[in-house]
Amino acid sequence: MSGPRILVVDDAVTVRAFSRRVLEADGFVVDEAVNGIEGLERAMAVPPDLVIVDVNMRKMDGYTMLRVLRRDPSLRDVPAIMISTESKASDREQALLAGANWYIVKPPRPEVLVEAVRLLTGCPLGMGEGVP
Amino acid sequence: MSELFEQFVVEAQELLETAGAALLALERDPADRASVDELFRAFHTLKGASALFDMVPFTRLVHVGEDTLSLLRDGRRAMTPELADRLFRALDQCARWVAALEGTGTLPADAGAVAETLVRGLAGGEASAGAAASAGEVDAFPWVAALTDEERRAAGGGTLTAIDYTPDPECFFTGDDPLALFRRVPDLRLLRIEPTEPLPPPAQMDPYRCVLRFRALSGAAVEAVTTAFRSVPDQVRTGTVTLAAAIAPPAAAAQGSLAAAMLEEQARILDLPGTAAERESRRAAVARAVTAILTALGRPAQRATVAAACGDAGSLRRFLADGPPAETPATAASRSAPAPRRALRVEPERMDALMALVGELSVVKGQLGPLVRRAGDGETARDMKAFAARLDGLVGDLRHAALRLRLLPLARVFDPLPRLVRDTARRLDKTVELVLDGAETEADKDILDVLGEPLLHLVRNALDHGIEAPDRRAAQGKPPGGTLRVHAFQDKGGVVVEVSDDGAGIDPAAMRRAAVVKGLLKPDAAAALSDADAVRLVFAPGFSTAGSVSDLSGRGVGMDAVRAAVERAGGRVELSSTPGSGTRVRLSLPLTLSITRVVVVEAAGSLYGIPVALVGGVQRVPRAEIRAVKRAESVVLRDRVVPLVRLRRLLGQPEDERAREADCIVLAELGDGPVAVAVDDVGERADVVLRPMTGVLRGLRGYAGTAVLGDGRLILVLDLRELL
Amino acid sequence: MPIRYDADLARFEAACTVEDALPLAEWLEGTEAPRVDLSGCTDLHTALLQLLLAVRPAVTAGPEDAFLACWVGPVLGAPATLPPIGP
Repeated sequence: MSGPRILVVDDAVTVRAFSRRVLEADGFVVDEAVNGIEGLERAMAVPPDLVIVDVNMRKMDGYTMLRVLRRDPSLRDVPAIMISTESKASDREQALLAGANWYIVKPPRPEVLVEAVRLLTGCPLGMGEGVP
Repeated sequence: MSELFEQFVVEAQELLETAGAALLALERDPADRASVDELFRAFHTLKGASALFDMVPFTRLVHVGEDTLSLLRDGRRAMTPELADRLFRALDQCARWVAALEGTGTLPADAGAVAETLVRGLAGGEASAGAAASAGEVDAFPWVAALTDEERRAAGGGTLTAIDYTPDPECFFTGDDPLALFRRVPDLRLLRIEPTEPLPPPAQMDPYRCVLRFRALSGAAVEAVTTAFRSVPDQVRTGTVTLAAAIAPPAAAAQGSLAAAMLEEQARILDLPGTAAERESRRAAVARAVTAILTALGRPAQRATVAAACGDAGSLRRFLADGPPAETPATAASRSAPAPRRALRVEPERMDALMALVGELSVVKGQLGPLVRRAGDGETARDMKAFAARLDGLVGDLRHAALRLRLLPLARVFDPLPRLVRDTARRLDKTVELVLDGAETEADKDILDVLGEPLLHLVRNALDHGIEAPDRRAAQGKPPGGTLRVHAFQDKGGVVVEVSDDGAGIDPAAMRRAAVVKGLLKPDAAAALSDADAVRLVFAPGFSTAGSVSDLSGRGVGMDAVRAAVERAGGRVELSSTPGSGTRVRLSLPLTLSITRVVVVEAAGSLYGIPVALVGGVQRVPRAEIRAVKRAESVVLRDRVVPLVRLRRLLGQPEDERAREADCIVLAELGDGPVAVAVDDVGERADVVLRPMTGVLRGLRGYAGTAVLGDGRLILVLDLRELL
Repeated sequence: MPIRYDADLARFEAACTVEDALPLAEWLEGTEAPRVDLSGCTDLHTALLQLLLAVRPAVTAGPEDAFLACWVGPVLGAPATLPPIGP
């Protein structure tokens, strides 16, 4: 039995490791890529249930990767979270324009990341989560 | 206007009517659970329906109304006359908005501000979470109250920082770039760029002079925002404003939760600009994300259902607010309720064209009769006669059916009355029970239109002048609450509406005095009036029965206007009153305006028609009974002296020289008393299609129009009021 | 030069400053049916913005810069805000 597959695209190894640890602990399967081009290659090889994309990466940035992803017939509906250190409204807007469904400011708190990922993959919220 | 929008207008009107009736019932009996539920459902459905369209103030107002009613339903708030007033005002405003929407397709520009005032009223003055900016703040940033729905949505709700930045026109020289400053504003939600003055033609424009001003909203705190404008503190104004959330937070997720924020974000994504392909793929991603979020929340929904709701932000928000269709009680209730009969809407012009054709057909059919008579007695003639008889029947049925198409129940004019009585009685501190009777009586739409205003006036009049204040009633041994009865029924081809009250009645002596004081009558003429005629003085132009002009009915539209409106439609007003025990006004109107029933009379060899509605009787009067004082003749009919006029004289025709023992009299009941009209002969009664006078005839006074009789003969239909 | 003038088309590139205001005003005035391409523009000075607002040239491509795309493109009637055409 394997949980939903999450593709984490970030050029910082610590961020990838953090995400892997947090998400695997919650039962998700985590895949990694270091830039937009590699991220698209991974996504096409094994379609993920959700992508988490950093903004600034060499070779291909997160915006471009999301735009390409949204143009691919088999991947265009994959939910996407963009994650960035910028907290301005315009940055959030640009992420949504590129195709993101949600925007998280770095560094995310583990429980916030898990809750967002659970929601966007349709996994019931854990204990103490989402209780009004 | 889209079909969906038209449907909304019709649905909203029905819901508002339902809500109004339920509110009246609820005010009478605050424990009436069925009415609370009904009212709540109406507001709830209005909220859902209006959210489909761009009408945020409307949605907000009915949403707050719904909240108020849910408090009422749960017993957390009590029904008071003040609360009823406020709910009525909200319903009235919604009705005005629906009318505006029907006319122009949009809400008036002030809708946002109007909604906020009403919302504050409903909230009972308490500052409620999510309420709009308080008055002072709005005053400081008036444009915040006037945001378009689009802008309101983009800005989102909650506490925001408003920025008003009018750069110094010379600022470019000091190195400022006003627009660039907004890049540094955290969480910018809205940026309006406007010229401070109309932009001059490019040739006259000084490129180094700043003529723009900026208005913005930010989600960040004032301190964080002012940092961005540190270099231009004298040109910028900031302040905290609280903006109502454009749309209710999705019901699917707890307010303030991550899921709620995420769902709202998905809705917003749908309205982002982009190419068709970009928007299409965003929609796909949003549909999948929303389906996942709902599944995570334990409310799984079909992906296809969600995708269908992902047309734009509004439809997704509505979908989320209502939850999956089967789950909401309102939808379930409306499904189990019998489907309302769908009314077919037909343009009035088409209806008129049909009526005209039916009229022509009747005329042509009428010409068959003489033809058949000329055919003699043979077998063919007998067949023709049978055929003509059948045709007669069919044409009659057809005309009846066509007439019925235009008939509507009087409920339409009765509907505003309960509310009118409630409001008026409340203002006058009187207790009045309204009894409505015969709302199912039908009349032509034109007649209903004629009836509406006079009826309102009569009711207002009865409350204002008729029914006494409770203490005065008690002093006279009457129950403190008055009764106003409005009764409609069908009567000899017409419709009758009676308005009667158990109030003070009209005192004939007071009327005589008033007529003299107002200079309408000389004292001796007033004294000579019978009581019945004195009471009828209320119909005289410019007459008011109240000692002082009341704010209700003393506004220049008096009983004379009521009489004029009714008589113009071929109807008649009668009034009877007993001092101390009440007044009854009776309006008789024909069933329809397009077909008039006339009595055909003859004068000097020509045929004329007199509308049956005005005819009180036809009889022969021996010449000996006609009294003449100089040329003024009169006759005693039913124990009353009635002035007699001769139609020949009225029409400028020579006198009838034939020696006759008796005169043919048509008793015409006009508002200010009966008149006996002497004619040469009285013929049949006929239903005719009245055609207005055209061409050279138009200038003639005294005629209502022309009409063709069944046998093809032309008659002139008289307008006796104008003629006399 | 941040603005390249090409007969009736002006291409805004990178940061366009107040220095460009006078040449832009003259070009706008002297061009029959001016068109502007803002796609490469990363910064648009207020002085340029108000000239564009006064003349309202056809915008062949809206700005790609997120801030400008969000707040300035719609005011100038940039194509991105128009309803989508075709699939």
